[in-house]
Amino acid sequence: MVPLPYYFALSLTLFSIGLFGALTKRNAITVLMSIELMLNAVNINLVAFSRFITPQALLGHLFVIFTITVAAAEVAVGLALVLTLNRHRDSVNLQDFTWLRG
Amino acid sequence: MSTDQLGSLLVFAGLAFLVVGGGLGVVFFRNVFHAAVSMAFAFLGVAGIYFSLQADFLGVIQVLIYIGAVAVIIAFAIMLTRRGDMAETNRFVSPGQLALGALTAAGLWVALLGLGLSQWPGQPAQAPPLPAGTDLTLSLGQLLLSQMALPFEIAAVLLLVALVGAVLIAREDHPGQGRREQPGEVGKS
Amino acid sequence: MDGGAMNFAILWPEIITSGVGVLVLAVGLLAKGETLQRSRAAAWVGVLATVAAALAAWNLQGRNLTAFFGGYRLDDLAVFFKIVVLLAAGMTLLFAPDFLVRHFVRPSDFTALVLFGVTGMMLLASALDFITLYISLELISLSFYALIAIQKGEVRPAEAGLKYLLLSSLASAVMLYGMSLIYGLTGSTYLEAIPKAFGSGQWPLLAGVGVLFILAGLGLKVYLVPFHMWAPDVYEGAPVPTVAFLATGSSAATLAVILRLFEGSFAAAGGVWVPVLLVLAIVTMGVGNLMALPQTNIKRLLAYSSIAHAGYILLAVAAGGSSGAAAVMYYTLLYAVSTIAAFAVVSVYSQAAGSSDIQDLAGLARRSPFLSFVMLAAFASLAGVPPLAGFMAKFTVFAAAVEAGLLVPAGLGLVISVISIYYYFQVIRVMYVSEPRESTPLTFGWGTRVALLLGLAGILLLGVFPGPALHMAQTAVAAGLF
Repeated sequence: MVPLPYYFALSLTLFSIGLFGALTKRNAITVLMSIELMLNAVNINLVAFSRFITPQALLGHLFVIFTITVAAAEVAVGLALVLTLNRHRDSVNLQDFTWLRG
Repeated sequence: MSTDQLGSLLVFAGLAFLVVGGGLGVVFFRNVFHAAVSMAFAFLGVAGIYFSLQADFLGVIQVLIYIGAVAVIIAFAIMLTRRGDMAETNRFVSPGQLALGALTAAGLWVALLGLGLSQWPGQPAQAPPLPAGTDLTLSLGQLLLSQMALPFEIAAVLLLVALVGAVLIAREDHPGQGRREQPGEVGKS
Repeated sequence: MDGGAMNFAILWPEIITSGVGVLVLAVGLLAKGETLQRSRAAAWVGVLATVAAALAAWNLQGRNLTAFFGGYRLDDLAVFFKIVVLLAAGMTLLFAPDFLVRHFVRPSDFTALVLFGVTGMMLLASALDFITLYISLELISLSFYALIAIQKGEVRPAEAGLKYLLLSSLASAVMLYGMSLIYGLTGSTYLEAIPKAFGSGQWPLLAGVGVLFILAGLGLKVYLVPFHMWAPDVYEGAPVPTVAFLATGSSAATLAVILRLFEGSFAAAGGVWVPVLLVLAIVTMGVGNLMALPQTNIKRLLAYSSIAHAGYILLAVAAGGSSGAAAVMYYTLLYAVSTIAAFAVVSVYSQAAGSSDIQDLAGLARRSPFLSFVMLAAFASLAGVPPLAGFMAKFTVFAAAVEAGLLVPAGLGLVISVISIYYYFQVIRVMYVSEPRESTPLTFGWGTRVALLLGLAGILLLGVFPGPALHMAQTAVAAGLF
């Protein structure tokens, strides 16, 4: 097993990539994917800390189970919203999503 | 450096390449479907990281849920909302905002990497070994129904809300018989 | 592990709301020949559930115990916020059916989602570890995604829902990263254990970053600038009853957990977050009040008003201490009552006018003197006119800030808050002075009437007799945060 800082650096890199994507992509679906990357980065952190710092308590593992559950639920609701918006093809373009719209 | 350490370093490097490469693909591929496939590879890499940390159960549910469900749902969303050519479907925002986002992410990366490496400089190369006969999956199951019983119950309500919410959001028609109560009041725009 | 075992008896309020939520949902799905009109009964069932849950919560006062292995705290602070969110849910359910039926949303679906949302809010007010906190917060968020996009036939609700979903999950991810950093440094996810892990020593810088990440994640729910930009769009796009519940319940529950985290667990790291929060609180007040001035849509105006009030509340959080925490609680209660009363009026007039432009309020005083009087009281209270509740609340906030030695921020806040009088009275002027475009009297149902009366009574009573509520807040704070 490689030392803890390696895992931390990997997690931080994935988190930064996800944050970059979430802030700069125009397609709502890519924004959602970028957020999933950030959640995965969090999970790497939690599992690594759990293994290195509290190998017996498993708190990090438990936290990850809940974040995965929530992420799946959120993606399902997100898909429902995306499909609903897609019905209004003419007025909304998912590829023109912006955070600020006046 | 022993061969054992070299081996784990190589495995880690391979997995890290998969995770970071997959992540970069999500952001930089110009076709959003390619981005989604790239995301699935990143998820696979993360599952490998879990196995390397001896979190076997999490590795399995990572594959089942993230690749089997999340990535598939997102692929569905992309294909169902597709219109015509997919070549330029994953664009960036305007250059000004792009620079701002890049600066935020890069600044965060540099600052936190510095802080993190100074926080754990002398970590032992090896994590403390787990006692022989430890069954992490068994312990996880027991903890979920004891220490984590309350979040477990809340998660049940949360999943119900997600299910009902997704149905209510995606349902096409006005519900009940009220559809034609006041024609023209809320027409489909 | 200490901290009490599974004690489901202290979960009665949550069990009532979630159980009735499931019941309403099941009956709504299975009942044959269910029409929109008949489905209104579901909202009344929901109102009864919130009343029953509030009574159950009231009964749990004074227990001050920790349960579920240290993950759940039942103290007077939690009970206070539980009652506030139940009040918000109950008042919303009272006036919602009129609006929902008009827009072809089944009140039974809406009621079930509101009850699940309020369950999450009550749990959040009691959460004592990161895992319970996170999952309760997401229960609230998921309920709101559906509540925002539940209105069909228009594109705006779904658009608002997607925007809220993306921003709120982004904020959650940032918050989770902060939590993972703190877990990595302390080895615990329990709020009580975090300050103990660092002892009396200096907090490492990485932990400070974690604290700021958590502030950012929670800040989105309480309109902390620069995480406020979703509010105007979501307020404008979402159905009025949803916005009323979102504006009050969601931020009240988040404030409970902010108090627990920042006045409790992170108190020793105050050097990191207090200056940041102080600056952001003043910017939040400024942005909220200044951006409210040019608004022509009442929902957007109320969004910026929510932002402005968040600024005052966060100033009290930054001031800290027992008077700061008590001021946060009292302000949250008054803000909830006044805002829901205002939204109940908006709900009635926007159905009739078909839009929520401020201009369409013209002559409301002649069309419905009662409605315009409630709006007058709500806005005067939000503007901080004595002797209404808003004045007392602002007074407690600024008093707490002065007590904490924050003279300059308190002074700035006071000056900025004068601006708010202008835009609130701009609306009141339109109601009372402008010529009406239509003269048909406005009609509304019994539920709306009760909600309006409750709001009016709350605004007047909390202002004239602030004693009981303030006393309740102070005893709750005195009992401690863990």
